[in-house]
This record gives sequence, structure tokens and C-alpha cells, in this order.
Amino acid sequence: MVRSGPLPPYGEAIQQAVASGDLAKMKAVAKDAEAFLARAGTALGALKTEIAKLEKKGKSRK
Amino acid sequence: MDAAGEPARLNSAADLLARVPVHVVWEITLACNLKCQHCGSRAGRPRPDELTTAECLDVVRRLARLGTREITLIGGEAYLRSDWTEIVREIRRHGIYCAVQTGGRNFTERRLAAAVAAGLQGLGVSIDGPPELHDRLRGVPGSYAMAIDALVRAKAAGLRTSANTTIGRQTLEHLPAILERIAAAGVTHWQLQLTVAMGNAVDHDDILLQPYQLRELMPLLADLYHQGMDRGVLLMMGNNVGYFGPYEHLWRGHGAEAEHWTPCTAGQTVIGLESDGTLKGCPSLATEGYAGGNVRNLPLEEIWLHSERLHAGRVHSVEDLWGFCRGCYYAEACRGGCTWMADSLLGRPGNNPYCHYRVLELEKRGLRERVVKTKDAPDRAFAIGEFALVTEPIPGVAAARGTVAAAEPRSGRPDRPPAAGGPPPILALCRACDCFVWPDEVACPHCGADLAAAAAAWEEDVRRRAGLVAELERLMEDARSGPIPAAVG
Repeated sequence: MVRSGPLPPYGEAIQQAVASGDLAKMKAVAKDAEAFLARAGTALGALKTEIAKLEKKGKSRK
Repeated sequence: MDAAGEPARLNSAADLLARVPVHVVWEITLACNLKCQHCGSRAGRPRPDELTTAECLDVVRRLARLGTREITLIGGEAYLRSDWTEIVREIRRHGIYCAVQTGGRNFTERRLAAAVAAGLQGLGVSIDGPPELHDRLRGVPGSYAMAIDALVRAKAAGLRTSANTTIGRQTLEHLPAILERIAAAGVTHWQLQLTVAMGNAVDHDDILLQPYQLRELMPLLADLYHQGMDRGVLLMMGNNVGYFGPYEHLWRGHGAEAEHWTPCTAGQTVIGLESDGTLKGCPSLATEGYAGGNVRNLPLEEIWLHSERLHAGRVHSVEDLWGFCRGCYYAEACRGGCTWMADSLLGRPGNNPYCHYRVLELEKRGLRERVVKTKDAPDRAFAIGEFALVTEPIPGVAAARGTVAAAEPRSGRPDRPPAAGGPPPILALCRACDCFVWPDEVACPHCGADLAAAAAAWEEDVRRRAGLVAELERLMEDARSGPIPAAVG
């Protein structure tokens, strides 16, 4: 058994502790996914802009 | 961190059996440049007989031999001692994690650079409110700005940074703002504790939270815990915050919900050391009645391993409990919460009105408790006064039926050697109401739920959540690493 032990008020917080548990894991994965989707969304938007430019250019040459 | 990647301060069963002083909180000087209204040690001037540099270095070597893994230097203000970085260097030379807990006033660039060069790893800074309140409580205009500045600069210099907040009557409403500010300063860990009726806080008893205010405080702390998780700040409750109410599962395990409060371990894995060499089982406890000896008179190892005084004062069994705590459902698992809190307030551990479960139970009877100072504290470090505990009907609520309990008379502390040790009781968590129960319960005594059915439903929830997490992780991994399968058709 491993426990954090007492947290005497005159001492500092356990500065090396890392949040654990289901909720922390779920929040971490959700945050990763949101960041991934944001990056993908930005890149997708930029790509669509380039596609539109090319298509517009192609049409103007017809 | 140790080799296994765990925080140095985590205790194992082996630590308990071998009596390893895992964490030492060391007041290296009582000199201080703040005038805090709640200071238990009444810091200001150095003690007349503080340990010399050579004696301090010898203490470090002895602690290292005993297996100490973390030392927190405090004061007063630790860096007002001219040799403080020499002590830090010696601690680090032995591979011990070293942090300083500070008020942050005049923690100059020169001091920070010297600390980093000596190997300091962490800085904890006290933040007790927004600027006006913090400066008033700390007794020095501008101290808030200096404290925040110390946090920001320490973080930039590569130190781990944490904040400590003492919760008093005036602090409560400002806790959300404090979280905002320390998160912005890059703090990753926030320890909260209640202001204790000791030293200067007895002189300024108007700053003390009333026990019944836990009804308001604890849901707020639970909300801040979740907010903190979103902001990258891990909230930790000091020993005197609890116990066993509906949020206990949030406070002790850093997310591991099965962890709960266990009885005071003063003198088992923690040492409190005063600047004149006085050894205690907890840095917060009063010197009188709890001092185990002085390293100038006896080898530190001998005091630690053999002084009964380090253990005598705390509660060893239900027999030592009194008042509400004596008849509490959690009596054996809790033993009255923090020894320091109860002893400072009522002159004897074992009856602690600062308990969320107790507040909620009394509320069911239309009652609440408040404390009233009846005697000032002497003018010395870690001195306690006297308080009366008043139980009264909650204003605006129909008068309680039955008797209104009067506070029991004060008497001496239990004064006997520790009983044979054993592992602390481990309770189970009711998955219907999130309150802890004794493991042999069938129905939850708090909400009436069928505990086995609630556990089965919770396990099903856990499986479903784990499946969603795994699916999302797999999708992200596929998108990052693999070629996207070509569409057919």
C-alpha cells in the first residue's frame, strides 16, 4: 500500500504528485482529442481554401 | 521522484514498519519579515539558541541515514538565515528532495539564483487572498505582489512551484479568485488548510472560520478541485481539512478515489524540527507536550526511534475520543482528524468540530457548532489559548428536539505510550452517494443504497468509460501514424 501520508500545513504541497484516476484520464484524452481536432480543423480549413483558389484559377482559364 | 517515479513523500507499509522519517519539515530559523495574523509560531525574531551551521549539517546527515526522502525548509523565513543555501546543498548532496515553503517577501533574484545553484528543487508560496486581504493578513503592504512574483520567477528558473492557502473566515469567498491567479502564475499544486487557533491566530480569533461554515466551504472546495484539474492545478487538502463527508474521495488520492483519511501519523513518518533543535512528531503541533527531545542533548536517531513523547499526545484508540467524535460512525477510522486542530482549539485531541461529516450530521438535527475564545494564548511560539465549543440551533431552522449538547470540560491530553501498531482501517466507497462505509456493510448507512448493486453499476460505468477512452486513443493514433485507408468505390 502506498499513501500520500500526512500533509502538515506548515509544509508545501506534494509537488511531484500527478493527478490519477478515471476522471483525470478522461479529461486528458478529451483534451488531446480536442487539440487534435482543432489542428485538423485548422489544416482542413486551410486546405479547402487552397482547393477553392485552384478551382477558381482553373475556371478563369476556361 | 524516486526510482519508481513516485513522489518522494509517498509512504509505503515498509516505511511505517521501519519508522522511516520520510518527510521532515524543518524550521531553520524563526526570523521572519512578515507579521502574519495567523502565524502559529509567532515568527519574527530568531530564537536565541538556533542550531549552528555545523549542527544543521549534522542533522541532515543523520536524517539521510534514517532514510528521509524529502525536507521542507520553513521559518519564520528560511532564507533569512545566512547559511540556508549551505543547508540546501547538503540536503541535495544526500539525494533528498528539498523545497522551501515561504511568504515570498524579498525573495530576490540573488536569493533565487543562489537557491537554484545549491540544488533547491521546489518553492511553495503562501497566498491567502487577493492583494488587499493577503497584505492585511500578512501584515506587510506589497507582500501579495512579491509572493506572486516569487512564484513566477521560481517557475521560470525551473523550480517546481506550489501554493499554500490558509482558509479563514475572510478567505473563503476569495478562493475561486486565488485559483485563477495561481493558475496564471503557473502553479501546479495547491495545498489548502484551515487557519488554526494557535499563536497569533488566537490573538486575532476573528479570522478563524467557524465550524458550521464547512457547510459552505466543502462544496466550494469540491468545485475548485474539478476546476483546478481543468486548469492544471492539483488541489490537496492539508491534514485539518475533512473528514468523511461526500467529498472525502476527492481529497487524499490525487484522483484515486478509494483513498481516504487515516488517523494522525504524527511521529510515524513525519518529523517537525524547530530551529533550536527541538524534535516533534509534526511541525504544527505545540512544543509543550509534544516535543520528543532536542538534538543537542540526544542523538536525533535516539529521539526519533525511542521518544514516547513523539507519540504520546495523539489519539491511539477510540477510548481517547470524546464529545461528538466518540460516538461517530467513523470513530475508529478517523480518530478525531488532525491532532493539531483539536488540541490547539480545545486543549486535547480527540474531538474535532472542524469536520464536514459532523457538520452535516448536526444539521440533520437542526444544530450547528461555533467556537468562542475564552482565554488568550501566551506570548510564545506554538502557544495555544482556550476556546469554548457552543452547540446551538441553526438560525432560521426549527428548534432541534432533544438535548443540546454542551462542550465537555477540558482535561489533560492522553499521556500513554503508543499501542501496538497496525495498518489503519480501510473503508469502502458507496458508489451511490460517494461516502465511505465500513467494508462489512450491506446497505449504505448514509443513503440506503444496496452497496453491491451500486458497485456493480459503477463498474459497468467504468468499463463503458474505459471503452470510450480506448476508442478515442485508437482513432488519434491511427490518424497520426498510419496511412488513411483508401475509400472504396
